[in-house]
Amino acid sequence: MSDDADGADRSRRFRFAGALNRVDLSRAVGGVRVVRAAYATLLGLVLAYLFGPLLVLLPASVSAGDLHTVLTGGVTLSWYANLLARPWLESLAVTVAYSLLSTVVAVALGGSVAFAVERFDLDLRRSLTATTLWPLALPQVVLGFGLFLVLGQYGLVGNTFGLAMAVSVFATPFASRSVASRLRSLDRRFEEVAYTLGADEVQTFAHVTLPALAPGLFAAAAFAFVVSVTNLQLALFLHGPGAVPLAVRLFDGAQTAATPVAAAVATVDVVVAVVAAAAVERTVGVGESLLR
Amino acid sequence: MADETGPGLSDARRRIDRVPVVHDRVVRCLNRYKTRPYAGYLLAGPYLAYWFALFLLPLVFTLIVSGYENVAGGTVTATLTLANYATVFASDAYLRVLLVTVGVATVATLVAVAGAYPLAYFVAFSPRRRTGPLVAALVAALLAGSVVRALGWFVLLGPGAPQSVGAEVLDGRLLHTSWGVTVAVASVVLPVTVLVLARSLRRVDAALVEAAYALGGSPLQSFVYVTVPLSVPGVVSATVVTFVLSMGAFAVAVFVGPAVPMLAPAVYASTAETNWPLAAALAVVLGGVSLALAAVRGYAVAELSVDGGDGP
Repeated sequence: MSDDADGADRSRRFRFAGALNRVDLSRAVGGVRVVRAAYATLLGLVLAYLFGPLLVLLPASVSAGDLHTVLTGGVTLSWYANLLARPWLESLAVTVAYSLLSTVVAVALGGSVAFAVERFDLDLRRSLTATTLWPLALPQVVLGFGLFLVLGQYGLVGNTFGLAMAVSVFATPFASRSVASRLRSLDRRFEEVAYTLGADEVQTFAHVTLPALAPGLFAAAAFAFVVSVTNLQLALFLHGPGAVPLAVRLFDGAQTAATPVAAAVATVDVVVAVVAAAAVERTVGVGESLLR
Repeated sequence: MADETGPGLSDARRRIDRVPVVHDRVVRCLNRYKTRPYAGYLLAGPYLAYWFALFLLPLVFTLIVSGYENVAGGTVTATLTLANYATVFASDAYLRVLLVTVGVATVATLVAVAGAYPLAYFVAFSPRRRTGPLVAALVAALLAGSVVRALGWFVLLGPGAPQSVGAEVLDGRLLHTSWGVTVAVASVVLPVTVLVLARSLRRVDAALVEAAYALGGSPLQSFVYVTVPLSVPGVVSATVVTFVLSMGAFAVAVFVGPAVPMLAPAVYASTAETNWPLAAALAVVLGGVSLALAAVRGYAVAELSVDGGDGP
């Protein structure tokens, strides 16, 4: 491949270079490049594999038969009417209540720790960042069981407050990450200009930092809320007869009787998730919040 | 500076901008503490207290309870014993749970990482405006939660599933089998795999790939000798994250393979049967492996990446 001194070494490292060079990537059949078509097909297959189970919920939720006669048993919207019945509405009220509480906790605590990590020169910066990620690295069953033991000591199993505390542990990492990535992208010179113009710390924060941070806080709140609503495993350990979260009712319902009501709830879930993701995408960008 | 009036703020603005009563005190306090070396920890303090109480303490409790002796009816006696771990590691039933869980997680991880690579490559190396909706859709799938995706797979794999997926091929044959669970688990964890991998691939310096072209590399050579080696940290990271998530799969395992012995449902089942010490021992095994792998991943990513890497 080359005639310089370390040619042998290089040819070992680039062993198949010749063969790779002979592969003609520009070959086209009928004006379509083969490689492009193959890559597009591959992407399509992966996307179908990923989103297929979500897309199938919509036809399943309007199936007139049961969950296993999708598209063959006729179409009905009556399953959605079931959602307006008492048990589902009660679950909805409980779920929204604890999810809102969890969102407040997640944004306040996740936001403050993100601020600490991004704006202060901390010796333990890495460890502090790690504490915000570990709740996602631990299987939720383990976390749920542990929280069940701890919160059970204080009578917090089976009520809104206990559920809020539990799901907020899972929601906080989403919030802290959204706020942290927003903070990282902010131009700190605006704050310095505010100080120079005579604003004090409080005024600078209220008029410069907070407005600039608002989209990040919105993303944090949206993610934290939806993640709280849809979380199953923590809710499963912390629920009680007086407080049955939507996810738990969905889980129990789908296990005991395979009716399309479950698919209807799941479809509503998906719609909420899509709306939240789209709203974040329009304000700060989902990728900017979570991929940075 | 706190007491000076800056030329940029009018009197009216300044009046509105004051915290009632305690404004000057708040500002003085902020000024005094913000330069202290521990200022960041003060700010993170409430979070840390919360983290110790609701993340670390549950783990400690679980560890302690895993050493307790079970008494039928949801009570325990505080006599330390290793009997629960003996049950987990020495009984055929739970050994099978461990084996099946690791097997399913291994295959699902291979499938998910292989499937995620082309998608993550597309997300990382295409213009942002083209990938925005795709990333949003991936995150929406993530936000929708695991029950929803598990239910979708239950519908897809069930008997009489929509004709479009080939009911005669599947027709309930994958339901209740560990292969069915594997297929579903890989799909359920896929959004996270793609996001972790894409996050890492985005950090690959495009200039290096361009340099490969400039030095005469063909597209395929540049991909094989430059892009692939540079994406190793991402692949390692995504593999570990995916494996941990697959091992902890819960709703999918319950819906698609109620009879397939998986670890996460076993933890919940033991809790429901009020055998808390056994549930705790199972949770310690699952959590211990997961946290150990997360630590290995942190170390491996820091070792492998050029920029030191941080976070998933």
